[in-house]
Amino acid sequence: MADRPALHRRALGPATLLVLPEPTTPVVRFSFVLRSGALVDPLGKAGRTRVMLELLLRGTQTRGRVEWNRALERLGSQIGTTVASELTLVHGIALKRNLAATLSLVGEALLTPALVSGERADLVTELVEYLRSERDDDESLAELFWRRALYPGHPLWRRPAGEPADLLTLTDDDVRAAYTEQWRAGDLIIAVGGDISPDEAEVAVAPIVHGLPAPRALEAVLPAVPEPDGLRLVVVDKPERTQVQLNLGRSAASGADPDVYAFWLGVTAFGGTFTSRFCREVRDVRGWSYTAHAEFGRRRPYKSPLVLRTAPAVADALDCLELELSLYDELAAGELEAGAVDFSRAYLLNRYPLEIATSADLLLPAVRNELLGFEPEELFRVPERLEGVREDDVRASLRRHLAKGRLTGVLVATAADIVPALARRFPSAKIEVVDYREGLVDPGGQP
Amino acid sequence: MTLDDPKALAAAAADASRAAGQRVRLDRAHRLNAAVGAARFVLDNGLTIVWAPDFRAPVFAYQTWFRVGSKHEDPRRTGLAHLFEHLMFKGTRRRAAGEFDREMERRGTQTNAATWVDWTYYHEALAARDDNFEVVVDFEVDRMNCIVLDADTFASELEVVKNERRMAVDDSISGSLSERLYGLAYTQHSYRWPTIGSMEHLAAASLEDLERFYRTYYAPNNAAVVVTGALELVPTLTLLARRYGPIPRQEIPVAQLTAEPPQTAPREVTLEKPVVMPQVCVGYHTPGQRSPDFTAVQMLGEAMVEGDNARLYRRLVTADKLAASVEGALMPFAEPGLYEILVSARQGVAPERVVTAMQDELDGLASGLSPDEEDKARASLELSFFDGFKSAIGIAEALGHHEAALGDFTQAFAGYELMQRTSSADLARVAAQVFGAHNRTAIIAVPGRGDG
Repeated sequence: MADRPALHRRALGPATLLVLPEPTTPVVRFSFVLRSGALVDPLGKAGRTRVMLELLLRGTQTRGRVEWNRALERLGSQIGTTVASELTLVHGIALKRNLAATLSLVGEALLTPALVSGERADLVTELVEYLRSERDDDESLAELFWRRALYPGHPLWRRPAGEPADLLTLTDDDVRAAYTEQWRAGDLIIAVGGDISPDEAEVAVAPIVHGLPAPRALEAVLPAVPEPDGLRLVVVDKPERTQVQLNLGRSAASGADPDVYAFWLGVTAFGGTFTSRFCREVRDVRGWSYTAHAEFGRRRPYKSPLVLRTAPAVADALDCLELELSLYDELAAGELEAGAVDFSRAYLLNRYPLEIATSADLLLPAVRNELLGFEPEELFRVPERLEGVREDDVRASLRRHLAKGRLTGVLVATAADIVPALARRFPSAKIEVVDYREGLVDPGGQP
Repeated sequence: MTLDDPKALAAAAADASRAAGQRVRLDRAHRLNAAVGAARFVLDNGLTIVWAPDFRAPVFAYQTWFRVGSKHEDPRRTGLAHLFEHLMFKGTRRRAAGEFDREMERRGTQTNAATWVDWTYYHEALAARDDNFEVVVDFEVDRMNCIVLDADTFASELEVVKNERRMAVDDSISGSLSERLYGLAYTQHSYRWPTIGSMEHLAAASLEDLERFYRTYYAPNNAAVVVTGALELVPTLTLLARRYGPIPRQEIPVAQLTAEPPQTAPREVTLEKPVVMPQVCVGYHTPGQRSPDFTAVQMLGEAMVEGDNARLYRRLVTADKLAASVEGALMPFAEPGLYEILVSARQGVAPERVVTAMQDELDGLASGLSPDEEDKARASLELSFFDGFKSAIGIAEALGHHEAALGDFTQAFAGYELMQRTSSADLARVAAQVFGAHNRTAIIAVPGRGDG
């Protein structure tokens, strides 16, 4: 019995091929990943990458949208697209026996897309409507305004999904420019996992790689992420809320920071599990929130945020916020409970075999590892890295990436229920109130 | 140990019986393919053990499924099954509150649970090393046998559950519409109330209610322990028999379920809600998962909502431009459930137009699927079927659900064969039965001030 699927890395022309063979279930997953994402969208064109990407699946130069999708659907295969700030993916899953036919369709879409004008107009309308519908879900709403509050005036402010007003300005030329600039073999990572060997994978994807122009595209230049200079609270005003969706935190460490493992350990010790101090204080002791945890994405190429997530009832919201601010300040000072670092280290080390058990578990982490410029084996050095962190390193890392009293909060709530008391309880905080529909436009372009 | 050799499996059960001093009986074994299969054993106290070897990775999943869910509740005291699930993470006669979570986390897992209409289950996944298996068995036996409920932990956990309800239902448009949908679509059957319970019933819940619930339903003869992963059979069975065997069986009340009378006319309610987009939440009564026609509804669902050419997507989003999104899901309930469809209507579109266009498309299903659609449904479900067995956790969930809801883990493997057997005529017949307008219940939310 192997501990995990093996990871094979090969150069395929100017592209990189990652393969995780696991020949036990007749299924294969694949991802075509570009090393550029929504951050390369020009100013005023947020959503350009997403529109280009989704249009790839709406017809090719030889087959219309209906025909191409019908061919795909007959195979039972699923293909989707994802745009993040730093990467772009076309990903899919297919039965082994249908893989060749599926990749042939993918190749047709990636190499000879139709990028039809009418489809572009329809897609933009659908995306604008979709962005409207997100406002009806409080968790999505909190995430939207959290990004805006966290990255004011910074390219990361824009959602990878696009901004409604920008989407409506996109032209056919914009979409063609995005396709031409971004689909370069030199920017491509292909990750394949499941019932397939490295040689089979290479044969299967080579025609796609060789069909793309080779040179790498220009990378997005990311300005420094803004630092909060105090406590800023943004209340997203929505009627009739019985509770408050509360995201609190700040931008923190990047996956390339040398102390990222120390920081990750610290966050896990503080709020990464049910018995961590943050969850105990908010949920177990006081019963204030069903969800209560701290999150940090450790494989991002930019300063990824530390975020504390809770959802207290309106009556408990200010007490909960005050408690969270106090706990955050302790964390920023590097203060953790005795034994918490060793406990969280044991948790992460012992959890590790489950995180690498299947090729499906490893596919995206392998891609993110590659995007950070690490060698493949770095993906499997997590235990070694965790064991090399001392408790003092953790405390120093928390002090380095966090700062007492300097953080941002987003509260989805009915403003009249909490804002007056919020201002009294936190007099030094900058408090802003925005309508939950702020920034929406209708598909005809009207606010 | 091979699942294809009943004599060897029976011999292993006999070995475990001798070693444990408790009788273990092989009930049946079934294999899906070279990688996936399982065997069921039963102890004298009625505990079911489902063992599925999977040595692809050095990990195992451990799940305890109780055959009790919200359908077993008194309609005047809803939410007890789920509320009690939260209290199973507190103390026992041998251990303080929080000790279980802490020990599991130290070993690398965050233990958790879920409650639904037909069942409640508790799960852990751990590396197959050291004494992880022995320790998880020790803790699970302990909480099946001797949980301790106290007023302080009950009070704080009750607040947690009320907050869960606020998040999942009261402040969630999809959650609140779904709750109304089941309340309107069902008039008699226990599926009509929400698993999380009403706020009024939660507020009235007492420690005595929960102690009674525990004593009534948490017994070995109402449970299935599902173990999948890198665990050898004889030591696994031996330990489970030794530790669970002494727990006495109990009399489990037979669920008093009233069959839902057939729906004969559409039902519809329109609500004002603080929404940006009008929302349409529709349900059609379907056969339960015990019925062979359940698979036909799954196949029809593929044709309706999955993929760019799916009928409802193409009609509502692409062609008529009435909707921003369409989602559909078939509820895997033991008794007859619902096929749910949730549509976000476009700005300015009257929701009634959405319902009319949707019904028009669904009426067309009664003429059957095209050969392309049938191919798509079979291939797509085959893919989902095999992908569901990619990990020890996925295998355990599939086996546990079918064992707890239907009393037969082999049903987890049956869908594939049923799908091959389902004919074009079956699809047309089931479509006419399920997706007719008479069988439709719709909850519509339009922008405005909330009216409940």
